[in-house]
Amino acid sequence: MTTDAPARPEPVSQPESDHYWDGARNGELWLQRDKATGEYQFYPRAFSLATPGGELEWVKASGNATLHTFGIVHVPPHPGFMGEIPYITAIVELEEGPKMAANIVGVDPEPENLSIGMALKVVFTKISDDCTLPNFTPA
Amino acid sequence: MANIAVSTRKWANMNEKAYFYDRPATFNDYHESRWIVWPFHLLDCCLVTDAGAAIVVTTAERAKDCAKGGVKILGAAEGHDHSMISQMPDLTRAFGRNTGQQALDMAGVSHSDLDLMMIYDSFTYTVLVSLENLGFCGPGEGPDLVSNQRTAPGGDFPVNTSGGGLSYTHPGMYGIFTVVEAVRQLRGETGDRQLDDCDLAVAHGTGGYLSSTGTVILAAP
Repeated sequence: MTTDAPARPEPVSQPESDHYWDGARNGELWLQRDKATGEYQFYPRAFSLATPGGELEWVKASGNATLHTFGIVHVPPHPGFMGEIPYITAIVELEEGPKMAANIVGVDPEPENLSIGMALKVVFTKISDDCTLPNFTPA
Repeated sequence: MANIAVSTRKWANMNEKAYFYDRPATFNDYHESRWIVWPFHLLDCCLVTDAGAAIVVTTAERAKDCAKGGVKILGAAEGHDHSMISQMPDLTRAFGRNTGQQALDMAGVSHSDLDLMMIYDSFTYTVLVSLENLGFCGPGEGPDLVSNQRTAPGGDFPVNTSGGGLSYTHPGMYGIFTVVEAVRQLRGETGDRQLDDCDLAVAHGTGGYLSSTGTVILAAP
């Protein structure tokens, strides 16, 4: 990569997701939970999906998940990812219930290394001083 | 997915307006095309083109005076589900599971009555999942439904006779082109690729990240 290659785009923290991104920087995965029903939700929102007007609380997640689906990216959606290819992008199902998008890291990006339903655990990938991403690796 | 890619290209080779009009593609070409995002080859992915289309919608009364005669809208339905693919309740069930049956019910026709299936093909997978959701076959039976080039010219289940988003055109918003080709086939205007006895067609669009669908049932003038 040349030095003037476009930078990798980063997530922009919103008030309702500040806690999530602060947690990720500290190596923790945090989820919102409806106080009344105990249902977890992801991605972070300003309101409860389970109960209209319901109150939310933040809970530290176990970090355990299973692989719901995956693809191996050879042509990235943004030039800032050119240095990463090929990489695995996935939807994982968290032990607490919600699904989230993440990269699968720590494994060669070949289809035979992955299987739907395989056990995963969260790991944290620092991409800048401001941003750390929760990713997953085979448990 | 290879069957869809190859059959759609065959239709494009019969449409002089198609981007890939003069470029055939074989199963071998499909399997040898580079990965975009595994398991999607280059030939699983739609084109990126400039294009535009327009449709005039009017009353049946006024359509009688139109130069080409009006195609009839027998049924239509649309709906929206999730906004992010990671939040899709089931990756194999888009909203066509609802809009397909609603449009068919409104039209008072069944799957076997349809002569042409115009299905938004952002990717080959989109066609498989849409045909399943619309009820042409059961979940997971899409690959059998489109096997042996049934969807190609001369096949008994014609799909995307213009060459589709895969091989005709795809300007980002392709949906209207499913309707345009359906109208042309129903009017008998498609030359070499004209279907015999094309009286009833379905045009089915998918938007967002398999998020929203619209289904229209159209009948010949």
